[in-house]
Amino acid sequence: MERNRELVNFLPVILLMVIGFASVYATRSAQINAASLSHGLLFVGLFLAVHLLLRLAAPHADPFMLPLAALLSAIGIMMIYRIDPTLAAAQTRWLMIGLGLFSLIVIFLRNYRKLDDYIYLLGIVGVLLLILTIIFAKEVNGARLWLHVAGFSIQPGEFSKVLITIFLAGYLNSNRELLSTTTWHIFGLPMPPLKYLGPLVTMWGMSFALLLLMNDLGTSMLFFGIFLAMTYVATGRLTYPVIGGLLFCGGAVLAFRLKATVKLRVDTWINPWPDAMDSGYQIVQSLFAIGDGGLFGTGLGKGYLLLQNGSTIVPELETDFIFSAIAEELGLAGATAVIVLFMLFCYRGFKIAIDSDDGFSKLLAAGISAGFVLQTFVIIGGVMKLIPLTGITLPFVSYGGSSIVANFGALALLILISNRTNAEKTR
Amino acid sequence: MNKPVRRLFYVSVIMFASLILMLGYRQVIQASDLADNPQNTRKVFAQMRIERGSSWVVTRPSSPAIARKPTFTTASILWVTLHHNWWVITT
Repeated sequence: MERNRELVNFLPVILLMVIGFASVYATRSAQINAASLSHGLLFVGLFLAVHLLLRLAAPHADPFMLPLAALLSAIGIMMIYRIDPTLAAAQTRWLMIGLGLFSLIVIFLRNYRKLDDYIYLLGIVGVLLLILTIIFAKEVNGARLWLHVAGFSIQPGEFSKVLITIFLAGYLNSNRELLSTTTWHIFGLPMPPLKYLGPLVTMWGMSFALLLLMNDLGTSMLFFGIFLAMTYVATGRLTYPVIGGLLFCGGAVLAFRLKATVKLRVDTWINPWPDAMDSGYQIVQSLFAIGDGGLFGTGLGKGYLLLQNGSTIVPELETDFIFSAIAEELGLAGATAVIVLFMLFCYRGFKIAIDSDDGFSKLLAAGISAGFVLQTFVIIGGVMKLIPLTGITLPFVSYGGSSIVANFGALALLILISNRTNAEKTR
Repeated sequence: MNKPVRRLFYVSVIMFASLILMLGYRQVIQASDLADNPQNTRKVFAQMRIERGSSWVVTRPSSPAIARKPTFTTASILWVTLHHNWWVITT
């Protein structure tokens, strides 16, 4: 039953791919090859193959998660195809790898609760990936986020995010009783014994170190936000998010005073116009693109996104700034639809958390969903100048292998949690 | 643990709603200021040119961080390209 609903939910994805690719091709047929239309067909074929796999391996899984991820990926690949068809081909390859990892997890990790036995190993690998990034990453636009290995650029932070979420789910599930006890108060807020505040202080320290060493407010905010959300779910106490939020604000103020790159990002956020051709260039051009979209957009392939030589007017348009391209060509209506799709995706994620009956699954689903919410908010808010701009990807939509592969890995875990919960309900 | 998850969802709804509100503000209320039509962009570019004078492509450092950062060449290239090919690009 669930899988038939899933198949019906794929219809908008197929429709969007056909109309989107045809519109882009019709508008830009002088610049792009007809053979590139095959990426759209391959995309649809890949998701239908994964749907068939779920019929066999996870028949009770949530019927909306995969179609929502497919729809977001479809919008992403359509925009990337519009920007540069060769990048769309590369993105299709990354999608194949991402869906390959998704399939492997669904087939071989059906009893995902075994992960609870390896949380420390997974946590250490997650932190090591971040340390490797800090040591070996080259600085790009002031931030150190990318490792270059064998001709590929990898963003280890994307994988760390999932690994640390699994670690926190296991750790908090084991220690939530202790973290919920009250032995003293600070400004009227109930506090657990000091020794149990260790993880909070460690995570704060790690986030602050990320901020100082990677020069990236977004990644730091993402990790600490996931931690606070999961601690709140585990203990049910507002003390943790309140104190954690204050600690983070204190750290951010300190970083603003100590680090020129952080100060520049904040200055550019407050007013990019005085330096609109230098440090504020990217955000100013993003605002132009968004403003140009109006209510219904310029139409696919008709936006003012590329120069005559094919380079993008907004730097990093296909990765961090893909939402600006969506807002310009699909307008307020289309861009709002994308945000609503993310909201629906996160709603299903939180629903999976609420429906699941064991602590580890609940925390894992809530942590993954909170991660998607935060990442979406940080990058869309950044390109619209709602918050300071940071270099993270829009999940499923932006161009980038690490992001696609890690996000499909996280999606596979949500699918497995929902499959187990629903299967037990039907028994 | 369900109550905190529900509350987290409500917080996420507020976050998404704030994104939609900001998007509406940028695309409807600010649209006339931001829209990338030739007159408006040229107005902005011209204003910047007046403000920065002849040295505006080679930017003046306005903070220690910028002073250490190489000149944002993409911006310079864009300006030169726009300056020479404006009508070709926009038509």
